[in-house]
Order: sequence, then structure tokens, then C-alpha cells
Amino acid sequence: MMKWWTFALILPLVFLLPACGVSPEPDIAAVEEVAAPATVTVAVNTPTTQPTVPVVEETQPDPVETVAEAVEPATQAPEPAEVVSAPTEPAETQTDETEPEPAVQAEVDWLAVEGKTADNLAFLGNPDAPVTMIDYSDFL
Amino acid sequence: MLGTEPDVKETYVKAGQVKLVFNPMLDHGDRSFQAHQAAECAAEQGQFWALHDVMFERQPELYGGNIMETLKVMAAEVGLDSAQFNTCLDEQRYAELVLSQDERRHQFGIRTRPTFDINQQFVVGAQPFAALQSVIEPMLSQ
Repeated sequence: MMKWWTFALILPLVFLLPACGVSPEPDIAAVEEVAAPATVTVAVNTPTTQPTVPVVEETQPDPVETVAEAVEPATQAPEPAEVVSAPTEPAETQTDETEPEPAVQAEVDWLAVEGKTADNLAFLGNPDAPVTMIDYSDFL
Repeated sequence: MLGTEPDVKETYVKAGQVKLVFNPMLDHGDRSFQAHQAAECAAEQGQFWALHDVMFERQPELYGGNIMETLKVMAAEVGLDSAQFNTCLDEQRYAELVLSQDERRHQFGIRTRPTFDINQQFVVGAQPFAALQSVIEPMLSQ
């Protein structure tokens, strides 16, 4: 049982404490606000971290893939080189094809062909050449 | 022909584009007469142009000494059958032919050495190779 004077002490406190800003309600709100942000922060951090990690994970595979791609072209690089060397072989073939042509011409060495014209003049070269050059001259 | 003939040979004759013909001019008396007969004797052995080249290359030798002996030595150096060649030259086997060839150029009014008849287009006097080219090239491009 409380004494009557106990109420006399508590009542003024009930009215004075709110006047001083000390009340149990604001304390509860403050606790709730602190607790709420903490929860929100965690909630925010979680989704933020999750995307970040996948980004990192995606970023990491990219360079790997890039490296892999870079390696593949590097591996493919010799292939073009082989392609380049391949045309070289046909070039050699072309050279081979070109060589027989002079060889055919070399078979007819017109500087070794000489004879007499209808006028009994000595001639040198292709008797059917498109141009005939008559040299009127003396050995002395 | 000296000077331009090697270029004509290498550029056009060798390629079969130009047929080179030689017509004698007897401008130095008996020496010329004997030298051109010697070339005809070489032609018997298919070596007209070989002796032709040697006589031009060693032209100063033809001006002095015994021309007959000089020609026989040259023919031997070219590789001709000396017995056949010497007999041919001693017999003056081609005297009439050479005289007729010289007469032929007189009939054409050719008096300047050398004169080039290139498909009936005449180039008179010693000319640089480029001058002959300017005449030959258009004919080849036709």
C-alpha cells in the first residue's frame, strides 16, 4: 500500500518531467528510429552488396573472356599467316608459270638465227619480224 | 654499224621484233671490197654476223697491213673452217655479189654511212639508240 504522500510526490513529477523534455514516449521513439535505420541499412546494404558482387563477378569473367578471346585471335593469328603463306605458294606457282614463258622464248634465240633475204642480203633474227631494219654500212 | 647495234640486237632482234639486214657499202676501195667478201664467205658457214661483229670491234686492224691475212686470222678466231674460208676468199667467190649489193644502195641514193632503212623509213647518219627507238616503237605498237 502506498502512502498518500507518495502520490503527492509523483503527481508533480508527472507534470514536471514532460516540461523538462524527459518522457518515456520520446525515448521509445528514439529507440525505434535507431533500430529502424539499422534495419534499413542492413536491408539496403544487402541488395547493394548483392548487385556489386555479381558486377564484380561479371566483370571478372569479362576480362577472362577477353583474355580468352585475345588468346583465340592470337591462336588464329598464325592461321592468317598460313593464309598469307598460302598465297605465297601460288605466287611461287605463278613464278613457275612465268618461268616457262621465258623458257619458251629462250628456246628461240633470235640472235642465233641468221640467213639470207630474197635479195641475198645477210639478216639476223626473226625472218617474220614485224620490223625490218636494213643497215647500210661499211666495215671500215 | 657501231654503237647502237648492240642495243638494237638486245632490245629488238633478240625479242624477235626486228629483223636486222646488212647491205654493204664499198666506201674504202679494195679493203672494203675484201672485207665484205670475207663476210659472205663466213655466211657460207653460218657465221656472217660473228665475223661482222669482230670486224667492227677490231676495225682499226682492217686499215693497215695485209687485209687478206688479217681477215683470215679473224675468221680463224671466230672459229670458221679456215681451209674453206681461205679458199672462198682467195677465189673472190662473192665479188660479183658484193658489187651488186653496193650498186643496189647507189640505186636507192644512199650515200651516207650508216643509213638505216626501217620498214622503208630512212634514218640517215649515226644516231643515238633513242632515235632508232622512236621510229621502231610506233611500228611495233601498230
